[in-house]
Amino acid sequence: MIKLQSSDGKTFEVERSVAIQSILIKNLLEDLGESENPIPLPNVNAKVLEKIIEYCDHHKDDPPFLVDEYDETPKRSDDIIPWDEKFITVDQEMLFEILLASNYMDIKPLLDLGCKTVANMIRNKSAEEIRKMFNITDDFTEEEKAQIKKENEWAEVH
Amino acid sequence: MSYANKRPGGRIMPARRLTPHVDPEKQFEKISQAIEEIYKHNASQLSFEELYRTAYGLVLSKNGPMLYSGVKQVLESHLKDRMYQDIYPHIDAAGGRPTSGACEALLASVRLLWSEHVTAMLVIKDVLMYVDKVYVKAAQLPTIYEMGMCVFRDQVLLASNQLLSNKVVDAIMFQILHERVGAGDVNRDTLRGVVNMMIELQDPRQLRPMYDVCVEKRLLAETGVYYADIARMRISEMGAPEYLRVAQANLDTELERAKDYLSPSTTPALTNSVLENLIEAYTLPILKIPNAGLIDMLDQRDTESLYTLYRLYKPFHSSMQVLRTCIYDHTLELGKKIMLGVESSSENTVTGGSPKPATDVSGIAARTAMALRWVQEVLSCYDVYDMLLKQSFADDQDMRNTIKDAFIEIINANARAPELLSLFIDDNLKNGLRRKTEQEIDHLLERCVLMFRFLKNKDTFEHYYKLHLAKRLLFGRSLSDDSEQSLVSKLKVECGSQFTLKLEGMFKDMQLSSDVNRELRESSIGSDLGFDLNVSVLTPTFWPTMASSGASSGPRVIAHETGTDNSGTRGSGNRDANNGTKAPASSGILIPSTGGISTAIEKFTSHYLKFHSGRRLTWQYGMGNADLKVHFRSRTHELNVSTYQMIILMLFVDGEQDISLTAEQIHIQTRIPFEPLARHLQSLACGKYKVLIKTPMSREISPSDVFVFNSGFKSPQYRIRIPVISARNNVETEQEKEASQAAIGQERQYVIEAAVVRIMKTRRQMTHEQLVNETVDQLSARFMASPKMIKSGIEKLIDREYLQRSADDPRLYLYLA
Repeated sequence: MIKLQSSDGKTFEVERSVAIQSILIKNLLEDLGESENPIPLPNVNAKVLEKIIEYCDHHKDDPPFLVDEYDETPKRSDDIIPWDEKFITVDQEMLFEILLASNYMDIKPLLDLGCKTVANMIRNKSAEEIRKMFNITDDFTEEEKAQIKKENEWAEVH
Repeated sequence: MSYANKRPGGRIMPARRLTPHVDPEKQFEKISQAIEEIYKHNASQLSFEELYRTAYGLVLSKNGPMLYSGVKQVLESHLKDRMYQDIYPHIDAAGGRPTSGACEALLASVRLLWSEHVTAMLVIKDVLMYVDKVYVKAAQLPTIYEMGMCVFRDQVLLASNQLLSNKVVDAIMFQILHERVGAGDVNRDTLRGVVNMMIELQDPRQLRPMYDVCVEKRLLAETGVYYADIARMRISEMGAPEYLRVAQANLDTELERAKDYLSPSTTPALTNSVLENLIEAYTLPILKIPNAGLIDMLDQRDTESLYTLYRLYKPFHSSMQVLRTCIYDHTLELGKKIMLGVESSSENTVTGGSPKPATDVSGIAARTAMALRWVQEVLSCYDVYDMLLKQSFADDQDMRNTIKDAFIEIINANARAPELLSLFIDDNLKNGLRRKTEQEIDHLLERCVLMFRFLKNKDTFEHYYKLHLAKRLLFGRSLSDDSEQSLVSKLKVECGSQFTLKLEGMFKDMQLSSDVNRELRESSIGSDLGFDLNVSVLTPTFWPTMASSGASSGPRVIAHETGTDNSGTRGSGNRDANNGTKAPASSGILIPSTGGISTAIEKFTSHYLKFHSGRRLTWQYGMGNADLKVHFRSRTHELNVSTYQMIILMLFVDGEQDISLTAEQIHIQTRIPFEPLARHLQSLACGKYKVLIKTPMSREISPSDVFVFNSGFKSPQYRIRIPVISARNNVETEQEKEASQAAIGQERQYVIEAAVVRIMKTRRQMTHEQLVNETVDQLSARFMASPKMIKSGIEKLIDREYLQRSADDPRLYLYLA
């Protein structure tokens, strides 16, 4: 059993097969060996870590995620399995926390899931709608905006 | 876009949280120190996670480049320090005049640093994994691990103008040489480790492993030089078997070494280098080493050395050609030696000068024995080479063909080969097979067929074989009918049924004759005869002309008889059936009527003709034999004699008086032609068993010689066979040979003309060369047709208006339908 410790001091005990879905943890164990000491994860708080563990636990029997670096087939975002869909239905803050944590801990399937979800949120929205959704300040000058619009003309759907 | 957040406690605010005003330099310092600890094997003291997080933070805060180049510098300086510390001290010792120990020390130090470096890099790469994932990919730089490898290569091996790299390769070469000359053992683990390092590191310019560029090239060059020197030395010191054995051992050693601590990719080139220098460069000299070269290996049947030779030569096409040529030449030499050896061991030569008289018994017998020896020795020689093919040359097809060609040359170099082969078979079928097992018999017959296959003039063989077979059949000399038939069927497979048609006809005739004789015996006529009469009825087309019998053959059935006679008469006892002749009978020999012989002949003839009315019987007396019970003064003997001998002897049977006759008188009274008469008189009066006494006692027969019956004849045996020369199959005398050649030549002329007509009929027109070539080709299965003969054949056909010359082109022939 592997012990993981969140930023706010909570310790979670998980099976090895759950933990090593995080490549960070996998390498750490390989290089340093297992010990009694919990692995500290100061970047991740307990709530998020719990969610992450929930995901990894559900997927612990999945076949290993093989990455083909040269695979050029475009990525889809409409192939999310039902359980994952339910899992990722959380508020925006949690969603972004999950994204950051899975990036940091290097759990690619979970990272993909998060990104697909965000992509689905963005799709077919105008720039203004997206700003509203994500609470982003519009700090472009008028000239910059015109420039960008011109550069993106080819991608516009007329 | 900025991530500036309007609402407090809001959403996206990664950067601030993760990099709360921490100095990137300080962060990097953590990593830099950690690397040192990792090299010191103190990795476990660190917090992997903390380092990972530190690198993560640096990348996110856009300090990836600083981190990457910083790590690189740390690695560089660390390795440089270690190199000066641990490796350089060994460099000088390994330069100049190195020892194996010094080389080992240098290589071991390099290997140690390398393996530590690899271990450390594996940990470092994991710690800096985030860098690889994000920064490296985006900046299209080598991964952390790859970068580490390049640093090692550039800082350690290639620094100072490739100083260490060269030293390392020198040391490796030294160690290999050390092992090669057997000066001592080297540490193969060290070598293996260093070689693996060279395989893993890529040459900066050539996109190939450093091993290929630095090590392999040197290795192949030095290997070549080493073995070239060795070969030069050895070739003058060793015999071929030893040279080859050692060469094979060398090759095995080199391959074993390559497998153990070099790269498998080197193996083919290494093999080539060794073999090129040891073997290919000395292809011919090895074979020609005096008293210990190819010829000696062949003569001594050194199958193992020959097999090594074959294996080592096989990769080189040109060397194999040289080998085959040498074997071909040597085989021809052997063939010549056999010829000479056989010739010199006899007193007379086969191609002797003046024709010897036919009555020169010992000469003929000796020459025949010599002929048989020739065949036997050629076959034995072939057996040896067949064995060598299987055991030493792996049944290599090209080699097999070479040997076959050599034997074809050898066999056809002896102009009498067809005749001699037939004699050889004859001798075996009469005597030789007696002592052999069935396997041996089969093998022998196979070999005979093989030799037949090699003959170029197969029609000549057919001519002689018929002759010899006829005598065997008629005199009942064949040991085994099965073997006879088996051989004929093997010849049939070789040549087609046309070839064996006549031979089979001869067998058939004998079969039918035996049926006729049985019939006769069982009939009333048979019991009346007073003795056993056995007649062989022959169809002339199948049987060869028996020149010695003095009878002509024609489209009639010719009878020839043997038999046992049981009638008693004082002085000569029982006699056999003999042939009575009819009116225009060719031989005109007078058959005595005593003993019922002439009656028997008449009775047989009429009986036979009853069943086969359209035929004519012509009796041949020259080939028969008879069993006579002869009363001598002391005891009775049963004599097995030829028909002529019987006729002669019966002249001396007449009541009380002792009859004395001259040769001339005998000739007149029997009407036997003088030449065979002389032979038969000789056999009766001058041979081992002198049944007649001749005055004067000389061997030669002249018409005035006087003969009387030798009633005082004594011999321990009851039954005696009195042999006559014509009954044996012998090597022909010059005269006989000329006669045969003429007959064969005539036959060939017909065959040629038939072939030409056949060809022209299909092609309609051909040039002279085309026609000649085509004819030679078609007839090659039977004999070698000479262009001269073909030309004369064409002329004849033009005369007979089968062909004509074209009016436009005199070289063109046209077929006339």
